[in-house]
Amino acid sequence: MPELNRYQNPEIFEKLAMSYAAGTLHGRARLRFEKLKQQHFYLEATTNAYESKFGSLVELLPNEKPSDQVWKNIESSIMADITEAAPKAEKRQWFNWFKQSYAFALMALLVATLVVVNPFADSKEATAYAAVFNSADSTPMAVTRITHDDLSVAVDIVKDIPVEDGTVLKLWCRSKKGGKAMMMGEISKTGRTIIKIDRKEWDNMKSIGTLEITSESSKFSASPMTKKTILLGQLNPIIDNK
Amino acid sequence: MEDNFAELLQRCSRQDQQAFKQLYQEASPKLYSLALRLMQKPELAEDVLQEAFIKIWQKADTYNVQKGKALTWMATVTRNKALDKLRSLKLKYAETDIQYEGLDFASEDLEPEHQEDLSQEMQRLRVCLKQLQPAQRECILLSYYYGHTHQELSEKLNKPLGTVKAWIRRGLETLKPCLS
Repeated sequence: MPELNRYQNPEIFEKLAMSYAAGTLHGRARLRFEKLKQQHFYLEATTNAYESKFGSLVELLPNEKPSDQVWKNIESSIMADITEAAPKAEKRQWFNWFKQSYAFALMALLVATLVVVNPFADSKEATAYAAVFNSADSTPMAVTRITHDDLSVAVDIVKDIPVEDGTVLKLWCRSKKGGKAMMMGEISKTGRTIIKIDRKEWDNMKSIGTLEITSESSKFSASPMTKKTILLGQLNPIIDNK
Repeated sequence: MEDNFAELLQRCSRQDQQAFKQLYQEASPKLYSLALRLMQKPELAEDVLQEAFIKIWQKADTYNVQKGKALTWMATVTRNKALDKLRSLKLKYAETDIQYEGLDFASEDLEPEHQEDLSQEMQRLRVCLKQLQPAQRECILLSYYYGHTHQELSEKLNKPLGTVKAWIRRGLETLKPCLS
């Protein structure tokens, strides 16, 4: 019987998948199985199912702490990835020179002006969205822009936001029609946070009316929103008029 | 055990670095423990952990709950990274300084508070593993946690190779209907 046919026999491939997942398939047999697994969906699916079952065994292991250097290496590696991916989009962004706090205030003004004078807001597709987050006393505290080019939400904190220890800032969006706020992600208390979105989320932006920031306990899950909104921003489309 | 790792992974898929840091802080002790047992050397285990987490960051968008619990998915990523590394380094059991061994942590007599921490999936797996003969269970768990080959198990347990192979084969046969 040809080798491929053996692996198409459920009796055989399920045993192999199980053995692979449990770690009892070794050497050339393991390599051969990995190649076949890449070619045949049913092998891959069966193996994944068993890997998921045996993967629970990790729960029994005692915790062991790796050295702090591991996280530093991981962090620098992913930052390098992000930096490598970003320059193309960054060149086209309007903000890369806004590094100082006074510049953020200017940017807030610019965003507000664009929003007010933009005459095509309802007739053309937005290329970006922007919002200025104000505190309850109408002080601009943060700005955000959501760009189509790199499908990202960038939130820049302009002024220190007084929050209690053990809390985190969370960004939410609320539909123009109202209803429950949806969490978009956790944001840093200082500086810039970038949150990636997918195309569907970008498409949904046209229905979003406001963005909100809350200070929530870091122990609770993401949603629903449990705290009062501390910063509120009206989301406005930016249209490329060219 | 609530699967808040799944939520963190979802946020990682949106390039949320804070979520990734939290995921690392909470999941790395278990995953490093697994890597240590497979690699036997802290420096190699740390390399594996690093590579695994970079992959977790890059592939977070491919995870979905249909693939099982997030921790088990990450354990599979880590384990496969470790096995790839062992293969590339051509490390053999005999060449390593054994620092991590034994299966005390997987004993049937877990402390009640530890049992409560286990996911339903793990509790079901424990029920299935209890159906095995002790030697069958030991061989399968040593293979999973330490990556031992049949030959290595034969030497470690001082049993003929054929006996070890038969224990594993019968053990998996017994597990199959239970896991299905």
